[in-house]
Amino acid sequence: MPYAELHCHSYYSFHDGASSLEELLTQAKELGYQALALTDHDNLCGAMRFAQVTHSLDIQGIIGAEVTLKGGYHLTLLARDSTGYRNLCRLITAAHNSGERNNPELDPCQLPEQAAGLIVLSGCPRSELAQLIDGSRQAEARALVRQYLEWFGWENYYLEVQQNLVHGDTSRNRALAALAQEMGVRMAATGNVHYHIRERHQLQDCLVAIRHCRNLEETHRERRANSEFYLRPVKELDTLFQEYPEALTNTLAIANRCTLDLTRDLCYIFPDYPAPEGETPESYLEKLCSEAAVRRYGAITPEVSARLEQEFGLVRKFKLAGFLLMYHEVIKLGREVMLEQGLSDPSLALEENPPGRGRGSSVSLLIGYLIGLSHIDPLKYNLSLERFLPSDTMSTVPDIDLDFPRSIREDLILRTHQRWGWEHAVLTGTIATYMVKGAVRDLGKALGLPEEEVDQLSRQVDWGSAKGLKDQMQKSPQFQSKIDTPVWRDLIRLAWELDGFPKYLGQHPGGMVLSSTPLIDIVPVQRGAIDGRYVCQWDKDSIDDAGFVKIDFLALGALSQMQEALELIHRHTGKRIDISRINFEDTAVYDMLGGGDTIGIFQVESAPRRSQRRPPPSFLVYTAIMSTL
Amino acid sequence: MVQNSGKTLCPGTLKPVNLPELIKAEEDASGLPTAILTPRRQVIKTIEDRWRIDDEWWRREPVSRLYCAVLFASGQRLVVYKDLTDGEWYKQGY
Amino acid sequence: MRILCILLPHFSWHCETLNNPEIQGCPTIITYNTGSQKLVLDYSPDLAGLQPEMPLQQALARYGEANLLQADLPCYRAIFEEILGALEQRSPLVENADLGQAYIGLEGLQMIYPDDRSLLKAVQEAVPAHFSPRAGLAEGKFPAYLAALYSPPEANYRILTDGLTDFLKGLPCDVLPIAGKNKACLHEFGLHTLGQLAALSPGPLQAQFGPEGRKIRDLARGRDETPLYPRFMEENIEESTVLSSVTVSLEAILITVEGLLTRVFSRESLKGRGIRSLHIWTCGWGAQYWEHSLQFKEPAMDIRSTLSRIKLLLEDFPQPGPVERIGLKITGLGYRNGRQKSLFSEVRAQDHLLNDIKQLELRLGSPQVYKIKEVEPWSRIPERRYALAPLNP
Repeated sequence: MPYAELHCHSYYSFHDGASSLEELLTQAKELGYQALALTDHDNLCGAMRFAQVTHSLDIQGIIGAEVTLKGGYHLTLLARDSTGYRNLCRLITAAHNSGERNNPELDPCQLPEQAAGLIVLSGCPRSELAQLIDGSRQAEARALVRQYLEWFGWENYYLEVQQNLVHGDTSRNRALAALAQEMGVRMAATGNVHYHIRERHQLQDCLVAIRHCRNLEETHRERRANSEFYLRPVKELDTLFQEYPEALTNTLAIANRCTLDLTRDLCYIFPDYPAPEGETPESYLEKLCSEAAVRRYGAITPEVSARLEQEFGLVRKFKLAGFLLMYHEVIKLGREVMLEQGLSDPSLALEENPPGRGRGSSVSLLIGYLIGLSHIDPLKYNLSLERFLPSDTMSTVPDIDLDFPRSIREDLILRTHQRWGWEHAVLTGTIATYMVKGAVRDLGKALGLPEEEVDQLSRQVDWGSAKGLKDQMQKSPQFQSKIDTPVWRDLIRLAWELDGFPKYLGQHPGGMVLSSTPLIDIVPVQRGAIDGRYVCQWDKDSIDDAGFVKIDFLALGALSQMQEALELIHRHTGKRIDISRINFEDTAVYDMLGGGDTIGIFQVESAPRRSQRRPPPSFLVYTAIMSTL
Repeated sequence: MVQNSGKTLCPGTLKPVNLPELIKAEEDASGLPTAILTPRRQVIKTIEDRWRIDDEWWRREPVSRLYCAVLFASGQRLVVYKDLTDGEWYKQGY
Repeated sequence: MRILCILLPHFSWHCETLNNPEIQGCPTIITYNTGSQKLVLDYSPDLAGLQPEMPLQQALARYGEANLLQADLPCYRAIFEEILGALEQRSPLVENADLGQAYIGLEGLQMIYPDDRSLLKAVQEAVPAHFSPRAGLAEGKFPAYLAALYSPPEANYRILTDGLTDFLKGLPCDVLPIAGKNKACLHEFGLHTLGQLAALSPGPLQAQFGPEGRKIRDLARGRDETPLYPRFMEENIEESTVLSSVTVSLEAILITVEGLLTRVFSRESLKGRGIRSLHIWTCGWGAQYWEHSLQFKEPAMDIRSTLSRIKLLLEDFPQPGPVERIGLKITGLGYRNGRQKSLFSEVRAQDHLLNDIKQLELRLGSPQVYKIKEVEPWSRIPERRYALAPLNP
């Protein structure tokens, strides 16, 4: 009988799931599963990647999550369609916004408001229903089921039965079956999968120990009872659920109703810009550029006009006016911060004293130069637009990186959250992964290896993949003899498996995503480690795949120094320097560079660069030489 | 009267309770028991429940057992388990 | 479990013909008393329309000319006991269901009797042919009983393997072992056969008859989960005597009983043991039969304590008539009960006790008394949960 697994944790259930998305999907396909649902704990970190891998492996993927409710109870939610997905994101966001930062907890009263498009399974043995059943509190169990039926409807609520050969599973399932029959509710069988093959249970045990900051011996109660939480062959499932075959067939019925395809149904819209009355975003941008061009060039020369016409043609074609105006708005916010911090003169135009510096291909945009995104005149340096804005098709959103002085950046991030609201402007997530040092430290502790030796080994190994631990130990006289000894060989094997595993969701140093529609309809958002910051659950790659507009606010110490230098000049001389208009051919500067006196100068202080004697007095040529080193 | 020297006789004499007892059993193709042969052959009427434990794989002697709660035709109940590391059957209260 | 039912139809009548062969061919009704009522126990096979436990008056209304015999239950029981003993030589699992009806469990017999026919042959050899035994073999007691009841006359046995449903469907509801009023109720509802009952869903039957409704449906479908209760072989001591003259005097009866008890307590097998339960019976001059059982909370270790209880019984349940024979059957023997005293009730007693424990340990070289300690009560590995720790005084 075909089967769909509706409760599966990947390694994005941090320190709980012990298999990657590829491993799970490949194994599911090999076993002949019709579909696999990804239901990580309170997050959708892997959802976008999961959607793509299911496409490439040609197996149906279902997006869901195992959500933690108040009281620590678990509940399994599956998104049927884009409405369900939106509600799932909102519920996960709500869970993270209540309670403590790393302990999401959803108030069940919020479920009915976001019920549309979701299919609910009553949950694993840690669910409220299972705990009521285990405690023989039948009346309360019935009341709970009635509550969920009222919220989600008979066709969207199933009693979840799991048989992982844990003591108590059989009696619980019988009670759930009796309850299902009594109340006319359907059942769905799930595997509560935490790894793709049985052997991975050892890594999963270690992950649980790591999560509790203790070793395996001390976590008997926290670890799973056995190795049955893997993707099991369908024949085995038929035997395990032989008393309730309908619970297996219902998994297919559920899978057939889940039609969400995240690669297609994501409702992200490019950020729009509320132009002033009587203007459109395009006309307003044109106006800004015209005014700035007059300030910059004295007049709108034919060269400027031709370039602007070319660029606006592409802007109209790819509907980028709102996108660029949003950047402009961010620059304006940065300027406000500078003025508040006394780092700029209000009489200066924005483009004369921009708070940040553009970099990369985006500096070839004249519009960017005029609205303060960059300080490099693309016409003066004859920079080609093609790399930044191709004339034919644009497969991804153009990437504009902005560097800010540290002092401005911190406030700017908070200001951006406040300006757009944390639901429309969030920081990009980043997922730290295990490499060799982290793997040695965490696994060594979990396995109960001597602390000093683990510490020594983690300091001795070079940065790199944890798969190379054995080779690295071979090279060490102290650890060479331990390679084939008990527990140490487990360390090597488990480190190999743990390589690349996500550790936790953190905040990207500077990436920020902006959206006109609430981002929490597209990806869950949670509070960052620093107060006032909000992080989305997708990393840079998922965000790129989703086509989000991302701004990178990068803090550059060098810019802070330059800012400080400009302030000192202003204080001592009364003059404000526009560093986009300094003399780029000053020979004294090139003599200094040629003499090797470059310590503390950004980009040129490294040894190979210092060794460049007598650089030619040409900024462009010098830039080209430095970029090759 | 034996003189009490004051010294402890057997330090660390914690005795285990509920140790498993080795038995003989017949099993079917799937590895589940069909009859218990110790002390005499008793055919199993039904296996009422089964569960598995896997633990201490990092130690020299890992624990990996498949427990079965069996009901005999006579109405007697028993809990037995198959040690998955050596294939032997044991009975033990759970 | 596969069960063999042995039916000895008209068993009591057959027992009577053993002693009185002349009653064969004559219409005979065997009667017994229950309280003030006289009921039919058994009757000769040619008397159609009679049933056991029918009021005697009703039977006589049909067959006024029939011979009336008073039931000699001890005799019938003794004969049946012998038959059961012979059956127990064939299988250790024999249940005494009723007089003339026994069930035999077949578990584990496949090594001795390779097939059903050899088993049936062995069982039939254990039962004297005089009783015309009938046998039925099926899964469960009720199907086995029906198989025996409806065994073909030429073979006297029926084996039910497949085709149980077809066999049962035409049988009347009256064969069900349920209360008579429920049987009448079924007929009133137009349900006359087991097939009709089996076709019903359990709901209506349960609604009408309560828990027995479920039992009715299961039995009609040939499903009987009732376990076999094999005879428990216990040591019995029997003593009986015939009084020198028929008497109604309680004193005389008690003196006789005392004499019987003297014989019982003088037996070697009772040495050191007492009586936990006994069965006393009397047989009167018009073959009037009286019997009662006594249970002792603590084993009676002497004649006096036993006799005092029997006296109370005889006073509470007077004899129906003059007594000719008295018998005692001791059905339960036991040792003197121990008395549980508290070990730790007195301080000084505790000191003595702890000292004794220490002495024991020193004498034998290792701790002898332990207490159970919780080590990891939550552990999934059972032997890790508790440990015995020496009780260190």
